[in-house]
Amino acid sequence: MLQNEIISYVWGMEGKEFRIKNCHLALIALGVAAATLNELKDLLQHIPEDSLYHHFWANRLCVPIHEKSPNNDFSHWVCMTLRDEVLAERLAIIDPQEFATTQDLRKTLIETIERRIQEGEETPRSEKGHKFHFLRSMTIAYPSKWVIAHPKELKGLIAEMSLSSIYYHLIDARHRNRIDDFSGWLSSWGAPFDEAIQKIKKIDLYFLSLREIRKELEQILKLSQ
Amino acid sequence: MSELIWEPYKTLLGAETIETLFMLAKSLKGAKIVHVNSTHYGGGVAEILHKMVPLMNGLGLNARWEAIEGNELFFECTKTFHNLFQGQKSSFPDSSLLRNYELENERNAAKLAPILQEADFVFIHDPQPLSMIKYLPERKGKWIWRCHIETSCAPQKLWQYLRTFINLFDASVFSLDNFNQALPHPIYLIPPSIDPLSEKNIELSQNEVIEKLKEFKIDPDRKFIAQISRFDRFKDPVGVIWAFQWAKKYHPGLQLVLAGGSAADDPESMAVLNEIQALAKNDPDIFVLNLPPTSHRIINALQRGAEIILQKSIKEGFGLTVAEALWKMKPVIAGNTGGIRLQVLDQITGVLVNTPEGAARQIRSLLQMPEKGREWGLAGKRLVKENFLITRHLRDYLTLMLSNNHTTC
Repeated sequence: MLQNEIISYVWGMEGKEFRIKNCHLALIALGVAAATLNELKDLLQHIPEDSLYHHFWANRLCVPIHEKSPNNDFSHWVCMTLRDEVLAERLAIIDPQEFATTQDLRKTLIETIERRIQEGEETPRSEKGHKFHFLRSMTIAYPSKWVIAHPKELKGLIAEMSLSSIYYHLIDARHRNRIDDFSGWLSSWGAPFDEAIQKIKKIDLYFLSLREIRKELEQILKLSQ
Repeated sequence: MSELIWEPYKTLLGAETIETLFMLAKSLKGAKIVHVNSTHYGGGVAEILHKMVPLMNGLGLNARWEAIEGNELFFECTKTFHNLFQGQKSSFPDSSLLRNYELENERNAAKLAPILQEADFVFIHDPQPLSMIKYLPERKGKWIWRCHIETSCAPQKLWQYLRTFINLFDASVFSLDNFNQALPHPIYLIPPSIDPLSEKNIELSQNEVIEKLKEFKIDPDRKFIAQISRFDRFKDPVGVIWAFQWAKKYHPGLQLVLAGGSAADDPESMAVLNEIQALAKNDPDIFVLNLPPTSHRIINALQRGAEIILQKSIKEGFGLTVAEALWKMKPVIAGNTGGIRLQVLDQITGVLVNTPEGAARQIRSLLQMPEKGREWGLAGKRLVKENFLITRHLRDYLTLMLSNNHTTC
C-alpha cells in the first residue's frame, strides 16, 4: 500500500464529530532525474515507495491552472516531453488501486516501459531542463474551520470544501486507513447511510480530478438521507 | 510585530488564506528565525525578505534578517559562482579568491555568532554566505540553505567545492527540481513569490502611470513594450533590442523601455548597461533607464503602462518580474528557461521563446491581436494568485519548519 508521510497538528475524529482538515504538501526532491526511457526504467527499480505515491497520487495537489489530465506524472512526462503518445497512453491507464503491493505496481511500470523500448522505435532524449525529476512529499494537515456534528451538515458543505480537504479525507485517508474518512465516519451513524457509503467507496479516485471527485461526493450526499 | 500587518492581506486574499497561516504558525510561536543574505538592497532575494520577515513576525514568530559584508574580491568570487551556476564559461576562482571568500565568511560568522548560534532556524540565502556554517559548529537549531539560482548547468567542480559547505546543512531549498545533485539531507522545492501589496505591485491610478511615463519622456499616447530586469547578460537585453527593432517595422511608433538597475553584489551590471546604452543611442524610441534599487513604484508604473512585458532570459532562477507582470494582467513574452516555465504556461498565461526572432514574431502577433493578450493576462493573474504570492511562500516555509521539527523527518 503506497503511503505518504503525514504530519498532523490537530486531533482527528473525536467521538461523533468529524473535524475537517486541510493539508499542504512539502515537496522534496530526491536529486535523481531521467532524461530517457532507459534512465526512467532504471531509476524506477530503486526509488522509494513514497516517491511512487507522490507521482501517482499527491501530484494532484500540484497541478497548475489548466489542470492537466489527472494521470500519473510518468505518463504526463512521456507525453509532453518525450512526445511518445503511445507509451503515455499505456502508462496513463495503470491504476495503482488495482495493485496489492507497491512492488507489483513498480514491476508493471517498468515492464510497460521495457516493452516500449523493445518495440524498437527511436527513443528520444528529453531536452535540457526537461528531465523527469523524482520527488516525494510530506503532507502537513491542519484544521479547517469546520467541525461536523451530524451527517446532514455535510450536504451543504462539500461544495465549499477545499480541494486539499477532498484529497486528505478521501484519497490520502484510503491509503492511511484503507477507508476514506467520509465512509468511516458515516458508518458510525448506522444503516441509513449504508447506501451513501457504498457510493462513496465507488468514486473513481484515480481517474477523476479533485474537482470532479468533490462534485460526485456532493451529489451522493445531496441524495442521501 | 502586530498581527495588524495582515489586515490588508485579508481584504485582498480573503480571511481563510490568512487564517491558514496563523493555524500553521501556532506550533512555531516564538521560534527564532534568522535569514542571512548578501545585501539588503537590490535583487529578488532582498525584495522577498523585506516583507517576509515582518510577516513572519506578524504570525507570532521571532524573525530577523542579516546581510553579510564582503570586500570587492569576495563579491567578485561570488559573482563567478553565480555565472558558473548559470552555465557561463568562466574560470573557476583561483585559490586566493576562494581563500578570501572563506575568510570573509569566517569574519561574518564571528560577527553574527551570538544571533545565529541561538536561532531555531537559520536560512542562508544563495552562495554568498554559504561557507559561514563551517565556522559555527556550536549552532543549536536547523540550518537551511536556500538557493535561488538556477543550478542545472553548474559544473561539477563548483558543486564539489560548495558541497563541502552545503553538506553541513540540515536541509536545502531550491526553486525548481532541475538539478542533478543528491544531497545528504532533504531538498525542498519552494518557488519564490511576489508581495501583492508592495510598492511594486499595488494598484496605481492611470494618472500616476501616465505621470511616471512622462518623467522619462516616454510618450503615453504611443504603445510601448518593456523588459524590467537587472542589467545582466543572462537577461539578453541585446536580443530584446533586436526583437523590438524588427517588430517596429510593422508597428511604427512602438517604443521600448529597458529598465533595471544593479544589485550591490553584481559587479558586471555597469558593463552590460554601457553596452545597451551604446546600442540604443541612435534609436529615439528606446529608453534605457538605470534605476536605483528603491524604484519600486516607478517599476510598477512602467509595468502597468506597457502593452507587453518581455523577460527574454537565457538563464533564470525564477524571474520574479514575470510574476509581477502576470499579476498586473500583462501578456508576457519570456525566455524558455528555469522558473519562467512555472509561470508562463505557453499560450495560456503568455508565450515562451528561445530566440530574439521568436520574441520578435510574438511581439508583432500580440500587437495585432490584443484580445489574445487580455486572455493571457486574466489567466496569468489567476495563476499568480494561486501559486506565487508571498502567502503561499510563507505557507511553504512554515511547512518546511514544521516538518523539520517533527521527529520522523
